[in-house]
Amino acid sequence: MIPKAPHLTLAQRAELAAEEERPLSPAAFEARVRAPWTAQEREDFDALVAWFRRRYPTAGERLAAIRRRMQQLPRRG
Amino acid sequence: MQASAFDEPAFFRAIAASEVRALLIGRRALVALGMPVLTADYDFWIAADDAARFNAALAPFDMVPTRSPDEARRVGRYALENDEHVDVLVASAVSTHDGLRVAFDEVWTRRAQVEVAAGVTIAMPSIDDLILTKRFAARPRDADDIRWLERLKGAP
Repeated sequence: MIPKAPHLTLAQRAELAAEEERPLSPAAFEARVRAPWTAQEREDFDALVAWFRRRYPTAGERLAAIRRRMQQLPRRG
Repeated sequence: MQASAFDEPAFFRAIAASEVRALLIGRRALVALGMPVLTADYDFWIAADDAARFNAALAPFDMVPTRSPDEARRVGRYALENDEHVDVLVASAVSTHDGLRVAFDEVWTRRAQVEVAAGVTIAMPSIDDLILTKRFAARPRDADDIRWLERLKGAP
């Protein structure tokens, strides 16, 4: 399933967006990249990708699916 | 606000027809590879001399550049906007957060072609090069994207 975005206020969204744009220190970035996968995380990720590729076999279909999903979300204010 | 009537296949077709050296990067590239991540923007890395042609290709979509081609080349990036937002990297080379210089020409040489609509292909970096582009800004989501891309590399 394409994940559903939680309902947040505009202020909460702005705060989250700012946090997401803030660069990590080199050490923190590498630690996050190298964080080991749990077995459950691997299984969930592989299942999600397999489903998405099965449901939308071409790149064009995948892009269109995400675009449709984005159009269902409230636009940024 | 109502979603725009933006025609995504036509958008990609216009870019392909322009013959601009344009690489789809960012999370839309991850989507094309098979990862269902939500993203609002389009991100492209284009050859430094191709900004004017890229802008012309997208002018029929009423997309307005935030910088002139000369200014964009100086700064290294700009955006094309209307209801849609296209971030454009226009640098001939970008350094990763840990100092590795990544040259557009080299990434372009190793590009992959992806069919995004019937008879329409666009260029994307190889997965290894896409991972390098995720090291430019070093945001938390870039680190997450690298983990996912490395996992994808091992997938069939």
